[in-house]
Amino acid sequence: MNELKFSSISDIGIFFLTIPGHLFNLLKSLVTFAVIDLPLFMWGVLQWLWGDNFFDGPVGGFPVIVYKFGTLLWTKVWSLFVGAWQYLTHTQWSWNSLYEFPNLPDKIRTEFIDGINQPFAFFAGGYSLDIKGGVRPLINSMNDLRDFIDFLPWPIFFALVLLGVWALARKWSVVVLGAVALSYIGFFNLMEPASQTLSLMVLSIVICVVIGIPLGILMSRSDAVEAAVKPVLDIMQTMPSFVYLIPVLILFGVSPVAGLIAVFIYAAPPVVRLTNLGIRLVPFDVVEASHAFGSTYIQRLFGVLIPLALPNIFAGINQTIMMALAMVVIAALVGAPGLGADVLSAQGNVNLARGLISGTAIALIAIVIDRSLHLLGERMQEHRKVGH
Amino acid sequence: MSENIKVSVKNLYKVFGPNPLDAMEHVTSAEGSSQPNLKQWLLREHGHVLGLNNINIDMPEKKLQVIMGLSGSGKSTLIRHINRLIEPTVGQVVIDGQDVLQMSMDDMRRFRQNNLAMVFQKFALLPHQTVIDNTAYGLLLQGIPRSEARKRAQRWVERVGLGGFEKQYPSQLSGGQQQRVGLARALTMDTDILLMDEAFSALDPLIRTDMQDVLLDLQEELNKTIIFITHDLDEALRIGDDIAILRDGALVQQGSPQSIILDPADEYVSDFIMDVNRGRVLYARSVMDEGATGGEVQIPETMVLEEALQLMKGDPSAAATVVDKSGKPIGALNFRKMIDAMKRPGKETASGNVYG
Repeated sequence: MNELKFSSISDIGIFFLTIPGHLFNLLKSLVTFAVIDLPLFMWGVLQWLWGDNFFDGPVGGFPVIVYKFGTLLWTKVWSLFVGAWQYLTHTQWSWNSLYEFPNLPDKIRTEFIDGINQPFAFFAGGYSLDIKGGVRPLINSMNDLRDFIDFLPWPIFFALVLLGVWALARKWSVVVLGAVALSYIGFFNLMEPASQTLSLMVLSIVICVVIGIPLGILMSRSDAVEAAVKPVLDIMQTMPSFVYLIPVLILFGVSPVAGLIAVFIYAAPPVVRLTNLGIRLVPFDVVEASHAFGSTYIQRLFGVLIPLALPNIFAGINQTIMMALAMVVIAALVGAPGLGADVLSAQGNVNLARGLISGTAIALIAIVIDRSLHLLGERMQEHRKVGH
Repeated sequence: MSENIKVSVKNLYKVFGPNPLDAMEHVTSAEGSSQPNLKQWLLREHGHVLGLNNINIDMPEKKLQVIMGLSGSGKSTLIRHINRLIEPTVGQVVIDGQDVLQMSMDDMRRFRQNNLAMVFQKFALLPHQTVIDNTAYGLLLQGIPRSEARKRAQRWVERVGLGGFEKQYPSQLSGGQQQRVGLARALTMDTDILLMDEAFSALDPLIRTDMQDVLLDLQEELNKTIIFITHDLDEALRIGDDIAILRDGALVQQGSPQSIILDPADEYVSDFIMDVNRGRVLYARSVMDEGATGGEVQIPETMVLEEALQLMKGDPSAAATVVDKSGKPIGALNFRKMIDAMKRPGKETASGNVYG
């Protein structure tokens, strides 16, 4: 990307002339994503769900898939029952049975495993190409972001980052920490992987927040939704990530998107949980007062519930970012480039120093973001301090 | 009473529990059999709490109606039925001839904006908004532009004595000042009815008296229908035009402060009023000998006995003349009568008529 070379002072002028073009490229790709790619993708999903003959009703596509998938699943489950029954009736029961828990015989176990794998393979075989095509815009926008960061000359990039840190934290010590982190990354020639990691982080965090906060609001509004979503969040956080990476790899291939999904599954729960919790913890008397003055739900949501839950929501976003950064190595394992990939290759070569260099960069980024957001959250609390 | 009735609560029941409507049937069937304590019986036999038990109150227009009771008597539940923060199990709440319980939720929302402002015990201000924005909150909810809403709120911020505090946050104010904001917020709505849920109970005694003065002062000027909840009898007697006493979710007595002191409906009320400083509550009119003629000292009919004593101490043996607003003598008041009326009744006379 960067073929810019400054050999004479006039080149600086040329550089400045190229800025509008680059900005235009970024803008163009963002608009293309929003106006063309995303609607096309949605249309594709719709067609896929409804079948090829969109206007004639479901003759192919998703309903057929569901039907085939269902029959396949049902035969497997049925054979499981039959096998279990045969096992129970044909086993020679004796006192020894007290010492051996009746485990499934191999035949049934194979049936069971096939019962999961075959329908999934059937599904993936039919649709993995569609899915890969569908998520193409995601990869594009990630690449655009990375390209833009790479395009920026380092002084401007540094200045922008430090300005951002100052805007969030309003504290010189954090800005100095940010400068240290940036120079560290620069000195060890990690700018390129760092920009890749950053673009992955930004995109995955935006997705986490855009999906997580509305979901948290829905949860806070209805106990039924909360009861339904909570176990899902528990599973997302506790299921070892390699388990859900298997289907993700099959469907998306080794690509940054697989990494994105791995990060999303692991990092989204805190923001959902804390949005829900924060809104539920808003003092009841204030909510009641809002009711008494005749507010609509939307007015209450934006005027009372979200502002008073904001400290918790911010803690949630902060945790989400921390967990996302913790996932970069695993994301690298399924194809996301960046600092995580460096750590991974260092581990492969058993090279402690290289691992430390890249790992420290991740840690520094995490610390700067954490401090900045923490201070921002604290500043939003200022009205709570007693003044006299 | 000659006044118009503004708010009328009719046959109101509220049952708390998993299945209120079923429990309500038990209540209706038990009412004929004269259960001595319906509330305890319902809790013991059917596991439901009877929050309000057949409440009938007519609240006069432009007066200060006090609803009094100890904690758990259902007074806060009752006031929340008037603006429907709580839905009743059965009954009617009629405001200006309109049954609010028949309104759709959307109509109810608009009705709250235009007719019912409320002041809360724990202030319930928005901690992230300044005093002026808190005061303007009700107007902002109605979609009035912020600058216009602030302008209208400003007047009330100053009226409750908080001029200069507009840019402060609630946490920077003392309790009394916070409740002034709560009051200003309700007044800014410019509604006919003001609901006050133990509005001054969280304040310390000196500030509470202060706020009562503010309220009485405002009421003189605004003549709103105020429904005031309190557990403090002195407060009720001081500010109320009419007092309704609740016990265990049922209405025990309703009447003017004078009639409650002079004629308590039952043991419970008379125990309640035993420690009241009668000299500060009873009017000359309530104690005088009607039609008798008195001496030179003239006492207006609505002067409390304590102040009347001050006027009469020059010549304790002579009776004073009680005059009405136009200055016409309507009765006489002597020292003996006054002291009888003011003394704290003994246990044996507690439920009897104090001076009869």
